[in-house]
Amino acid sequence: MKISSTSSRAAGTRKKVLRRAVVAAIAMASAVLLAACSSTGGSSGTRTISVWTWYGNQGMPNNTPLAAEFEKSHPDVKVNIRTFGSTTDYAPALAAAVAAGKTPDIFGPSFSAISYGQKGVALDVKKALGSDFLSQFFQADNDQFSSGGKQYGIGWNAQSFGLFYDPAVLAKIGIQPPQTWDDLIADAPKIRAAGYIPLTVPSSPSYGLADFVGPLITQASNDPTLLLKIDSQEDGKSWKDPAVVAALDKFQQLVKGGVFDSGLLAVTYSSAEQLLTTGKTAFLWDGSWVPADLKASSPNFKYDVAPNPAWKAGAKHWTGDQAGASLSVSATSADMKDTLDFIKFIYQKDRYSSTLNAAQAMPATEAAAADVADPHVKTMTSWLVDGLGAPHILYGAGSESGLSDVCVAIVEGKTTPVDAAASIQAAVDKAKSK
Amino acid sequence: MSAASQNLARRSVRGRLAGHTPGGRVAGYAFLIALALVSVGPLVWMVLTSLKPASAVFNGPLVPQHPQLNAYAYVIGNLGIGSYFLNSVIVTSITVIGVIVASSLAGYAFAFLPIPGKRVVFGVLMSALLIPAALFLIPAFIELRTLGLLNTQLGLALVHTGAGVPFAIFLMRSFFENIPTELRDAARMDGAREVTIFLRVALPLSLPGVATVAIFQVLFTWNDLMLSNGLIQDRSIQTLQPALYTLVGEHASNWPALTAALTIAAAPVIIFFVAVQRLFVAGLLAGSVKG
Amino acid sequence: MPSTRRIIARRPTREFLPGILFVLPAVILFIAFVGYPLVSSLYYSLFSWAGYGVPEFIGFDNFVNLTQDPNFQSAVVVTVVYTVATTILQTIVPMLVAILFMQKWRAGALLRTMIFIPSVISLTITGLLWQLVLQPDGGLLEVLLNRVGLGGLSRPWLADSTSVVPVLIIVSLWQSLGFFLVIYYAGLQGIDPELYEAARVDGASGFRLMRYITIPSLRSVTTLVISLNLINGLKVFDLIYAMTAGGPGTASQSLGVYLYKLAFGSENGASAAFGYADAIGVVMMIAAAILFLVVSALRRGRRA
Repeated sequence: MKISSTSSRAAGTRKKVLRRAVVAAIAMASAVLLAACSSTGGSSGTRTISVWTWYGNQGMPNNTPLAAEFEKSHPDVKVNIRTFGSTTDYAPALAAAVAAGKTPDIFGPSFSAISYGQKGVALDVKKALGSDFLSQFFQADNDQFSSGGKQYGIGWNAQSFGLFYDPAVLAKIGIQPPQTWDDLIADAPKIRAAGYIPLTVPSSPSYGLADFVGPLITQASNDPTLLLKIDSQEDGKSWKDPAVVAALDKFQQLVKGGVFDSGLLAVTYSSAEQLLTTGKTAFLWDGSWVPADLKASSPNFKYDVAPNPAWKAGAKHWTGDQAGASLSVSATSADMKDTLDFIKFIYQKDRYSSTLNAAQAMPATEAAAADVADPHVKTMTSWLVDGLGAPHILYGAGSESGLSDVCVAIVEGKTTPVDAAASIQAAVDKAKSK
Repeated sequence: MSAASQNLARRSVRGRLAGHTPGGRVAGYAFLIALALVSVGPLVWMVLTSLKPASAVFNGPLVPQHPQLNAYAYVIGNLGIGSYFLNSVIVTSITVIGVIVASSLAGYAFAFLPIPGKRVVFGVLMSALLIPAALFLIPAFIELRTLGLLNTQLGLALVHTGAGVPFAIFLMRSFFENIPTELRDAARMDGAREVTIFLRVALPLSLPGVATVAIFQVLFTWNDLMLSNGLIQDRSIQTLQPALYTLVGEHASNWPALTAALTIAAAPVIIFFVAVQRLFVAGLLAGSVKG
Repeated sequence: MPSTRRIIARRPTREFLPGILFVLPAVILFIAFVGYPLVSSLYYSLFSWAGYGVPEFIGFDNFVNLTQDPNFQSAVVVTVVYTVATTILQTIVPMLVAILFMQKWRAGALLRTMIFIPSVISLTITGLLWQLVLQPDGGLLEVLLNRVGLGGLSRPWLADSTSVVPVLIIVSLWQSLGFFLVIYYAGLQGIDPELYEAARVDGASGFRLMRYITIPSLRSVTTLVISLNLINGLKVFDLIYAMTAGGPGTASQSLGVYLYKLAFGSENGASAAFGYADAIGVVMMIAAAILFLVVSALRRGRRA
């Protein structure tokens, strides 16, 4: 009997608890619903344009003054800047918005600008903005977004790649930045003996290696159009081209020459920068976004940058160009006029220069190239002005992953350059049949 | 189960595994303490790193000599964390309430009531557990747009609720199944309606189950990145995880800022769990895992 | 039960009514926000569709192409290895630790809480954190190994195709040990003590008690743990994507990671392939459903 009395008392208490819980839950739910509804109220009377990128370190942070400046001169327009952390969070959000026909007015098209254009997602900016407007950009940045006489994106930051180094470390080792890859291989034992990794390349995700090897194909052939033709499988060019084999062979020589760290394949973009700033590596091969990154993470670090090593002494220092950060305009924008106005507004010469200089980011226009303030970015931009740009972004189906995968296999000693070239072509053939 | 019989169970399982000899005791303690340290070690290191100046991350001692909160000031100042935090609380609250209401009703029905095609319906609901989230985002987006709920916290919470309901039903059903049938039968004899039995008899006896479901759902919803990142577009109503992820991307090479952001993202769920863990274990004890 | 059946026979519709009303909210929520969207998505597995533009109907071509896709095959291998290893480890280790916890330990509750904490953190944060911990230069593991004079053991763990998947499996165990431990611990408390007393009377002790009483009594808990592990293993994405993005190369690219890359075209030189990703999703769901059925059939078979 004792048991039953306890349990009925417990049941009574439980009932009270439950009743209170239900009341509390209802109160909470209604409060929360009210909050949810009130917070979504649209702004009436004003037009809104949205800008989605992941260029927070490259002149388009969430709190960019560009939005407020534009709103000041266009009082009836609201600019919604949405800057993501990386493509990891950006790509799914954009894919969902595009799939549902709610494409942001302006967005970073990543690798898909031409595909977006051909499927009616991205606007033909050649028609909308005019050739005069587009002529201020580096040619390579226009070419990468063009197909069939139309253009579906414009560069936000141009890119080039070089060797970042700490001059004090080089002095300690007693070397100069290498002029050729063979110089670097020759210096490698000395650098290792001094306790440094000779060369660090961001290789995780593995497409970092494709960025590294791609320009070697231009270096091997001295023809900056070759890789573009191979990528699009035009003019009878294929990945079995001798220049591809030569480039992969050079990469294998670098691997076998002990130029890289044994942990190469786990080096992320951020850890690569750390290896430089913490004095672990002699040279960091990386892109022109590094100055902006280092400004944020290690503002007191002193470094310099040297050109991409050349194929042989006296040869051109070809380096990867093309814009990694770029902008496309939605073909279905509800407010096309303001959207295009905003594009023209942010690329006005002084505004564009000062925006990018504030971020230590590289401009995509020749005019702004003359105004670059940061000495390292200025050096890296000058390579593009000097015509040393070589393609490195691959658009063809299967190209990017095909090249990355064989680079990994070469690092792991699992393939030869000839076999590797053939297997990229096989991967591309397979991808095309999808 | 009474305290006495629990104690008995405890003693009974003891056996001769590790505990009877003093040496075994020491080895057992060493093992469990090592396990606990390995479990929290990386998290402690994360917090310690966030308290260091950027220059001392790689060179200084593991424990910072002069801990500083600069990284937190920077992250919080950069982010406006308060509103994101509140947004996460709103979305999580709606979701948890929705999931509890829907899953306790359905769990009760699956446990006790006749439903046409019961096993099939249950199986279809459970199949949702197998869905890769990546496949789900685009159609959910289109669905919310159709319903006019895109870019609202309510819409996001409803998707979370729909996705959370199957597992919650699975849990609630096993809690209800542990209720002695006599109790239900007695209430029926008294002429009580099904709703009354559910509210007055079954649910009060299954409050530990409700607590378990709530805890699971808080963790799922609070930790979600992909859905809220994809379905909410205005930063003013965005939740905490996507906002923090933006910082993670921007400051990947600034370890104090990065670890501070990770700490801020992880701390609320850790504190929440430590606060409610008694309920959680009690809940699991009360039913779900007896099957 | 027989009485219920008789009532159904007499007044079927009225008898069904409460049940239907009770499941209705859940079913509506599920159909509206999960079921319908998902079915409408899986339908695209029969199309060539980038996620935008006009879908082109191609029948079962996506599935045919899967059979010849080396990346798909390697992703299957990675996923199977990961799923089998995590399921075995994350079923057995938590069970043994839970049994150990059944003895009286001072501060046992504190130790259990400490072990549990990793499992409340999101997998993305876990992945990012462990990427830092394992970093060859300045990561926690390297620093600790150097401290205790074992610096020679330090490796670029995530850089090596042979070590990357085992490392991911261990991180997964780190993350989920506490969660399954608590489930087992609760299950152990539910075992009827009389079983042990009876066995003791028969002279059983130690490992024999564990073998013949403890483990069989945990059968339903174990089934739950195995099922959860199989599902999580087959779907694994966040942890791997945050730590390695599937690399080096494709060495740790699971089906979930490959599907994600295809669906959103985030790293695919060309365009996204949502239809193709959908086809992988269909295969994954069928595989998971079969596994599910096998596990529950085994469970029923054992019971009978």
